[in-house]
Amino acid sequence: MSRLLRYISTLAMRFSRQFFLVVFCILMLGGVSRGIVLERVVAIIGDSPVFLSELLEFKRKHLPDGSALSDEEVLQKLIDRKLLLMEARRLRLDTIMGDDMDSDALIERYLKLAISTFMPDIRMKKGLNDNFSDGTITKEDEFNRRLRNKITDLRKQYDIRVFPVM
Amino acid sequence: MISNNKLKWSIQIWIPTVFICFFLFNAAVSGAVTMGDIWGYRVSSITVQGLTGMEEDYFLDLLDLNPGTVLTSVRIREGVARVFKKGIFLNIRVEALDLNSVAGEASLLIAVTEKQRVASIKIEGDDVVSSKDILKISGLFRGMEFRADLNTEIQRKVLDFLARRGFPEAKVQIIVKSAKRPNFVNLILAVTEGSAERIKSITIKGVKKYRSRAESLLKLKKLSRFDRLTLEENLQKIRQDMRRRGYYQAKLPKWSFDDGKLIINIDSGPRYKISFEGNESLSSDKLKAEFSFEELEDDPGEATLEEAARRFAALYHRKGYPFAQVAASFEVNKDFTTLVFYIFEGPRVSVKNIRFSGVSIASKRLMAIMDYKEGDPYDESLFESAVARMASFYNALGCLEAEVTGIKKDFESYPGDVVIDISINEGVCTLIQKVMVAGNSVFRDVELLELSGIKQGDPYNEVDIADARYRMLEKYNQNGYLNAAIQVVRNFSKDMKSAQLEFVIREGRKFKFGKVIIAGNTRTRDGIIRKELNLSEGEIYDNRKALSGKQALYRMGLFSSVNITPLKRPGSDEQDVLVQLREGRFGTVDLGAGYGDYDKMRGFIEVAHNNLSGLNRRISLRGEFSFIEERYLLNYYDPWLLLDYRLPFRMTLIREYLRQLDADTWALRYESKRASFVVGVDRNFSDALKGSLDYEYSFLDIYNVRPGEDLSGKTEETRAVSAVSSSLVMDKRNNPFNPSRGSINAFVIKVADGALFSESDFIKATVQSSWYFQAAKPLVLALSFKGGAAQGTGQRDKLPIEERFLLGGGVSVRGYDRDKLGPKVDGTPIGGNAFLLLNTELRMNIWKGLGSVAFIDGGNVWVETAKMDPSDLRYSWGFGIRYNTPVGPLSLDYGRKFDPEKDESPFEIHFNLGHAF
Repeated sequence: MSRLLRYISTLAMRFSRQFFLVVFCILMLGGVSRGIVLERVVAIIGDSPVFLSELLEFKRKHLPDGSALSDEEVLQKLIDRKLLLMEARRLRLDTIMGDDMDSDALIERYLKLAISTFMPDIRMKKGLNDNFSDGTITKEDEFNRRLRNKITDLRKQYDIRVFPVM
Repeated sequence: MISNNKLKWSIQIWIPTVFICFFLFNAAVSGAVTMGDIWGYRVSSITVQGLTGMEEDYFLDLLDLNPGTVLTSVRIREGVARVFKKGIFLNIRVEALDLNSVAGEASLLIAVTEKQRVASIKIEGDDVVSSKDILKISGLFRGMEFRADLNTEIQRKVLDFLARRGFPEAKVQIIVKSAKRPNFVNLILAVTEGSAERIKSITIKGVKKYRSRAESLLKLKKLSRFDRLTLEENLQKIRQDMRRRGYYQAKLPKWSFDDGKLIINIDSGPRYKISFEGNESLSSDKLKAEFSFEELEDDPGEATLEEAARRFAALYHRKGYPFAQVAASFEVNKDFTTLVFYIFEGPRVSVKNIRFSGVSIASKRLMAIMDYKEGDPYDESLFESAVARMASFYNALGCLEAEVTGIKKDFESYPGDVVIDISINEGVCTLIQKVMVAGNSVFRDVELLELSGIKQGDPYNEVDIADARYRMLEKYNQNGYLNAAIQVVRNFSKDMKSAQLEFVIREGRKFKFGKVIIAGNTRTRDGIIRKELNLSEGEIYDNRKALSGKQALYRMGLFSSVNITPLKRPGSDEQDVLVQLREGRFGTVDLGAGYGDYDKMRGFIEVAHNNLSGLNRRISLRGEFSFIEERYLLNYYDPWLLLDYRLPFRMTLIREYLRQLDADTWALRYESKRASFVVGVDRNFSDALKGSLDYEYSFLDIYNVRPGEDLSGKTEETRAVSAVSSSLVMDKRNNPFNPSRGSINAFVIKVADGALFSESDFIKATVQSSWYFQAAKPLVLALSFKGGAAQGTGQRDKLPIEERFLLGGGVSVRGYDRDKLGPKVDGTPIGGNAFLLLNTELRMNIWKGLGSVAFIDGGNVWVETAKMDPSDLRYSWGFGIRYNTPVGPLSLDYGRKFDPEKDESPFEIHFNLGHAF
């Protein structure tokens, strides 16, 4: 490594003017304003596109600052959310006369429905008491497990294509 | 003076320094403008890259981006999402370039990546298995997205299918070739079937008596290819056959195949027979049809027998045997089990009389409501539903508490008959006192109340209220208020004699049509579809417009499926419309054959392409042949001659050869050959009113003319006719092939003149007015008037022979042979310059498609227009049979002259397709 650096320094010293001229021209060109991507598709779920702006907005709104997740991992979470939204729309949970329900409210509605559907079943199958405690699992764990299974099923139903984020 | 060294030093230091500063400045400037800063900038220009699947203008319109548009993130996202619905894109990237922060402008680069799609699919190498089956199994179709990652799955499906069809060593290769169209590929499925799996022996195990029958139903034989699909179909047939023969518990036979040996195990279960005793009025077959033992899945036990007995008894009750009873039992023999049904029919009972008490309405009216009349067989179940209908009737009169308080049936006083006494308590009948509307601002109260159809004094009726609500909602929907809701509030008086209704309306937002997104079309241009659809952005959203757009697309004849779905745009009063299409085949071959009393056997063949250049332009080549005529037509049709204005254009080249025969003697009158060129445009002024303008150039060659034909003694003649004609038609018939209501009125004028390089000069006009009235349900009265007048304007007064008016035959004055009514020379009709025709016909539908007609026809032809005399008409009368087909009725008519002349036959028989008028 030190030999390489020495070699480059020698070159620089020898052809200093030309060297700097070329380097700075290249850097100058690099510094010329490029296009700013306003929008791009980062994934397709069935026939519905997932946009770069949605990904950035989702990251900003729903993930804590300094999250260690990569963009691809965030995209997968966004895809999961979109699948739940599509399912909510399929169940016509977005039907409110005259008004358009936003996606956060729709997700909340879907989760409430999922809770009211899953919980009695969980209670019955697991033989848990009303406090849902048998020492080994909590209701939240069981609910999350079922929700993940639901998402896995939804992923199988749709053709999902993911493109490089950056 | 600066020394050389100092100059060198300056250059070495300052030039790089300037570059560094420039670079840093540039980087600082470009780094300073971020995505967020762009919002609010205006678009200065747009460049689109990679777009081949749709027109750029349409693409930008869907994106809602144009020079001058203000950039917002919502606009761009919605635009891209909208365009994506077209279904041809894999990715769309929108970039802002050449930012000018001073002017607040940016140019846009929109780079699209389109999906690769399938242009054509060819299957090669399939010698035994049909290409159609392989294509169906593969799931491939023209226009779909091609994905190389799915090829393995497609190959697997096809190989599995071929293995099932007896080709376990088959190979399949998918060859992809680029098509001429960008982003399209041609696929070739190269199939090598390999050697077939053969059956070496077949063994059928199971019921001995049934084995030979099973062998006859099995299509597979020794040394056949072992086709599992055919085997499964055959086994299903065997099972159905066994069940029909009384093996009601027969299961689907199991099979095994090993080393060429096919073994089939038939599990037939016990055999059953059905027998009836005591049935005299109804046959055993009729009874068996009431209960399908063949469909049973389980052993016909007690419960099954009881259900069957109940159904047989119900059949007797419906036929007027109210006392019929049925009992069932088993009788088990060595070979089969008999299910025996013992029937006590009892006497047949008819309704002698139905008497009502406690009613204020005439008994006749109540009987009509019940749909039960004296003499009908007494059926308890029908009677119950008839009584329920009466209750609904009273409710409709506002008598909400009406009830039947008692029913007495007297079977004894009149043997074989029943007298029924029905007591009714009509209760209080509620009338409407007041109707109001609230919450409306778009339509006035008066308008809505009139639309409701309910007024003060009307009986209270829930059905009327529901209809009123529906009509009001429909009115709101048709005017763009798609989310309108109406609640009906009812207030009854204490004594229930009156009620007030209030229609409370929530109008909601008014919607307009947004963008129209067309998806699924690969060969038809977006532009032509949008023109036919005729939905404009910004127009009030009316469902009827969307429906008529859908109908217009179907009428193009290019699509096998059209679906129109509204798409909400959050926060907007515009609704985009997604039009999903499935294109059909554009090439057609039509064949037809028929028979006419004059031209005998006739037929045609036509080859057409209906979508040239994707613009719904049609070109066809047609040949028509009959005993007297041979005709070839080359047609071209363009529905949108003027690109933005609907003006259908027609062009036809015709070559025909005609043998004109005497309808009585079948002697040849003359022969003619004609070559014609016709161009024309049509214009639909409204749904009913249509106009057309045509130019025709014909070159006619008449030869082999029989002496006496009015060609001024010539035995042959050639003539060029160049004419312009115009027509106006108002067609308000409910059905053009078999009208029962409405009318058709038409006016046609044709002018041929030397100024158009015509060798014959004439002017000719015809009028028609036909009317249809539905007299009573099976009867239709049809009336028609036709007239025409012409005048030669050149050297000759008379029209050329082929332009003259002629009457007589199955579609003019029946009872007269074809062309035989009118002036004649030596018995040969010569036609004339003027005619009048009157037709009156009474049409009756007898049964299903069969009908009959009675008619009176009258008419005449005059050599000179000046001699036209409405009092000098010849009349005929007659009757006929009609049989309806999808393209009109087949007609057979017998027509008789009122006053036949000396040499005329008194009657004629006519056979035709279609009504006479």
